[in-house]
Amino acid sequence: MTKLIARSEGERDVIVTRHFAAPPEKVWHALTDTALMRKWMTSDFGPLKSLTGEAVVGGTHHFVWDTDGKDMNMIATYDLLEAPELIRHREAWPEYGYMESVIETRLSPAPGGTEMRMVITFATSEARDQALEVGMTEGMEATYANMDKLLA
Amino acid sequence: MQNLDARLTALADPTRRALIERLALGEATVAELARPFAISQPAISRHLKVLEEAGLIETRVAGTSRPRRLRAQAFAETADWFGPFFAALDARFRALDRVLAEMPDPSPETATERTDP
Repeated sequence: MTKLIARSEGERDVIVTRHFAAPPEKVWHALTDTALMRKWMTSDFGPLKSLTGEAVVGGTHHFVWDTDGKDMNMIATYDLLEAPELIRHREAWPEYGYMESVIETRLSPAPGGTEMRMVITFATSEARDQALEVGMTEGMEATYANMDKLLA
Repeated sequence: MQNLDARLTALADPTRRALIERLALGEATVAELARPFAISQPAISRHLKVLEEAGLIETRVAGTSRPRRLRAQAFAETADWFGPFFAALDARFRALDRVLAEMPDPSPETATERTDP
């Protein structure tokens, strides 16, 4: 079972849990090596156009995705790197007024591989809810619609 | 559709969501599931019953053991429930699965790193 499990917590947090069929050392390498990151840092708004920088404490990665000919940028700044267990970084989005979220990623050994637990703290509760689209009105509606699909 | 309310109610409880999180890592017996919680095994069993009646988990018969596991079908579209944000994360992690599968086993260098304090 490698499915993504996600839930919101408090006002601004989202907790994401995912299992990977590889030991923490290997997952750590894939999460922090620039060349490997280029292979999996996909997005819902377009292909990754460029990725520069380095995952070192105080260092940054600059992501550029191509959204229908327009660039979407993200700057990740690394505040803490404790191989192969803990990454704390900030993600700033220039196209969204440099709105910043803080992400803590923990890797722990689990049967058959690694458990990854990410705590994403959004800048505001509005930003969180917008990202999740789980507002009480259309969000719940979407949830119900998807449930219907699921149960069909 | 008649299961819909049961599923939403089942997922509306933090203990039951924690049980789901645990089961996402693999099947487990009631005793294993109860261990991290400060509540009794019968209480855990009641939560598991709610999850099972909602169709979110199932019981496997393995000799005298009765491990619980997630019903893969019920969670096949989990990412969809949460909209594009999780769909994107899900796609990203699937790509990461492929990268991990292609990566060679840790080199001696990596092994040295691993023993670092």
